This record gives sequence, structure tokens and C-alpha cells, in this order.
Amino acid sequence: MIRALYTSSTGMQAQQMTLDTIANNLANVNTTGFKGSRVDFQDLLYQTLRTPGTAGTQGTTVPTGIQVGLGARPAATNRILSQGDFQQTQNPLDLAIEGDGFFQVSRADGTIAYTRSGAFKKDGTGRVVTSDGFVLSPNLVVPPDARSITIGSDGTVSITTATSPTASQIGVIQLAQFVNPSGLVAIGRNLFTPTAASGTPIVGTAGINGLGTLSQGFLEMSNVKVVDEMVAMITSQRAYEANSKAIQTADEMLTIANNIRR
Amino acid sequence: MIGVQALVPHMLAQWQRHELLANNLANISTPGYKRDDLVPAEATPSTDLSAAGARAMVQWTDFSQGPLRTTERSLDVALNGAGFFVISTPDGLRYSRGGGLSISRDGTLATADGQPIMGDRGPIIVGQGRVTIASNGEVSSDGASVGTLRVVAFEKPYPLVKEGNGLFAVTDPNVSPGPATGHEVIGGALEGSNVNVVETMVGMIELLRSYEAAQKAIQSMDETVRQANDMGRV
Repeated sequence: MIRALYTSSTGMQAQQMTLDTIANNLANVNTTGFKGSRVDFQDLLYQTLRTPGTAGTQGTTVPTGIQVGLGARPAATNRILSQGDFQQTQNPLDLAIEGDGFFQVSRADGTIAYTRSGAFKKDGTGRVVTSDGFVLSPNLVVPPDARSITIGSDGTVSITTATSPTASQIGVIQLAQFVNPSGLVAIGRNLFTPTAASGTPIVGTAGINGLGTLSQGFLEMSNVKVVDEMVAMITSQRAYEANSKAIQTADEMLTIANNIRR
Repeated sequence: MIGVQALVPHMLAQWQRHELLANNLANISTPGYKRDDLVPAEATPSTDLSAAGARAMVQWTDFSQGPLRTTERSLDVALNGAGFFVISTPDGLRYSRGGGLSISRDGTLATADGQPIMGDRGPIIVGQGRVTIASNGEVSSDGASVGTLRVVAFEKPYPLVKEGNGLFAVTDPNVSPGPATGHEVIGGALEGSNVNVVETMVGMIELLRSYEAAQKAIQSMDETVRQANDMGRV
């Protein structure tokens, strides 16, 4: 009976983890480039009480045996990497990736992190940076006399100035992709870092080798769907409740057992 | 008190059934989970009168189809109809009803735990392309076919035991599965657990009351014997 109490508590913990994930998804419903997560569960190990094929009490053999499962465990949090909706912003340094791939930004320690959020800005020296000041990699510097910036779907960045009205190329924005993008680790601030599971980044030109294309003046919104999350929240809450009922039943059975001897 | 002895296995069976039902509820969100229950054994040859109070109960796994729901993840895979996917583990081949797959570092299609899911020609290498899974089980990477998911079937009753982590193992090493027919592989979908909350809750009430009734019976037998013992007292 104590076994059942712990089994149900693993079930409740599993639902709690689902709720944690849903809460984070909903909190990021307006975060640009955010990708929602989902917790996947697996059944925990089984305890074999009676092995199939062993002798029963009356000279018979047990046909199926008895195996008691010990609950559920979270197996993985899967990031749903589907495309988010586009929002038009008219800002020339807002970029959305249509398709696969990540922008590369240098962190303060010099390592590269990856992001889907293309809300870039210029810093004091004209470098293109994220809202947190992480520099886009490879470096892109917009000269102070630039009048207009045009970013092509392949990532080519061109500018015009007052003195030269014909566009001149100042750099190319490259994208990176991974064999297993679900294996990336989210480190907050819309950034991901590679792990052994994700594989090493494969850097290339936008629109080539399966990489997505860039859209200037757009931002990719969060791919979290509020209705889906709400439904998941309801089912998770009810499942939590059902598991608590199993604990209550176990408790009641223990009381009954204790009361056999009055 | 022979009668009391007969009630003990009955009460133990109710405990055991509750353990199974509690595990069902814990796995209400586990993709591909199949519910367990304790059911009376059919036509158990029993001449022992003391066992008549407690019919032999056997564990039974319900392999019926779970509800399918679509997800937005191309690496989710489910089966509609009978059959199992084949998973290669360090302990040998195991069987699974699918779930959220992943791609391992070397580009092999694998379970969430990183164990390769088998195709008709061994593990499926998808590389870094965009993976799609067709209804005949064909896996494509960027539109190019890279293999077909192997789906096998067993004779009923299924000679399978649960191993945890969504895997089933065969109980008898001499049993080998045949190819499955009449199923459909669905990419971008998950098969939900086939646990039914209403059914499980009713089962819990049933077993709780049955347990309670046995307790009352023991108490009343105890009372009868006590009165009998008191009879000679003046």
C-alpha cells in the first residue's frame, strides 16, 4: 500500500512539472522567437511480484504473473520548434527567419549562442547587437552615415548613404543549424547553447542547404498557442486531482486495515 | 477461524488492484501507456473450499488503442491499430507504441532515451534534414526516403511484459513477432494513455468497498467467536 502512495506521488509530481512548463510557455506568449516546450513522460520501472510461469498454489502455473508499476517519470522536455507567426514592425533591423536556423550572437565570454529572436539594434559604435547587447556574429558594423539598410532574404546587408545613393554591401548575416535542434539548451534571454545532443553548429547562408530565409522588418512571435496551453492546463490539473484521489483511497484502505482489530 | 483466513487473500488482491490503478493514474499523460488491471481468472480449477471466498485474480494489460492527438512536432510518432515499433536497446530488441522521438548526435532516429528505433534495414539515419514520417512508416529527410519504420505484431494474448520507459519485452525468448498488418503510422501525433479516469475511479470505489466489506466480515466473525467464548460465562 505504501507503494501505491509513492506511485501516486510520482504521478502528481509529473503533472506539477507539466504545469511548470505550461506556466513558462504562457509567460512567454509575447516573447519574440520563443519556442514552447512540452514534457514527455514514461512509465517508471516495474516491480515483479510473481513471475509468469512459476508454480501457483494448487499445482497450477501462473499464466501471467503480477507486475506492479511504480509510477511515471519525465523523460524529456521537447522544444516545439514550429514556426511562430510573423509580426510586421517596419524596423529595418528586425529580422525573422522563415524556416530552420538560428542567428549567432557572441556572448560576453566570447562563446557563441544561438537565437531565433531577430530584434536587433545598433550600439554606440554601430555594431548590430541584440536587446541585451550581445553582438551579432559575424560582426556587422553599420557606418554612421548610412541612410537606409537593406537585408536580403539570403542575409546580404547593403546600405545607401547620402553621398552614394547606390547600395553597397557591408556584410552578410549567416545562420546556423543543428542536427538535433531539440537538444539545444535554453539559457534564458532568448538564447540557446549547443550540447553534445544537439551536435555542432552548421553555419551557412540563409536559404541554402535547408536553412530558412530572412525577412526584414518582421519579427517572429512566440509559437505558444494560448488555447492549446489552456486545454493542457485543464487536463493536467484534473490528472493531478485523479492522482490525489488514489492517495486518498490508499489512506482509507490503511484506515480500514487498522480498524479490523477494534 | 477458517473463514477469516479465506478473506485475507481477497483483501490482499484489493490492495494489489489499487496499486495497479494508482499506477494507471500516474501514467495518465504517458504516451503509449497501456493500462493494467486485476481481473478474475476465468474457469480457475479450484476444489479447495477455503479459496472459494477469493477467486484467483490475474493481472491483465489492456492493449486497446489510446486516443490519438496531433502535435506540432514532426518527430512524434504514433500507431493507429495493432502493432509495435521495434527499439534496439543494449539488452536486445524491445517493443514500443511510439512517442516523442529524438535525433541522436550522429543523426540516428531514436527514442527520447536515445535508443535507436529500427527501420526495415536497421537503424534509420536521418542526418540533419527536415524529418517527415508518412502513413506507411516511410521516414524522409528533406524529402529523400531514408528508411521505413519497422512495425511488428504478436499473437494474442501478447507475450509482453512492461519494462518501464515505454518499452515492452517478450516473456518467452522463443516467441518472435511477425509483420503487422492493418495499422497506420502517424507522424506528428502521439497516442495518449488508454487509461480512462471514470473507469479507474469506479474501480477504486469498487475495490475500496470490497476491501471494507471483507473487514466487516472479519469483524463480525470475530464478534461471533467472542460471543461463543462468552457463552459459558455466568
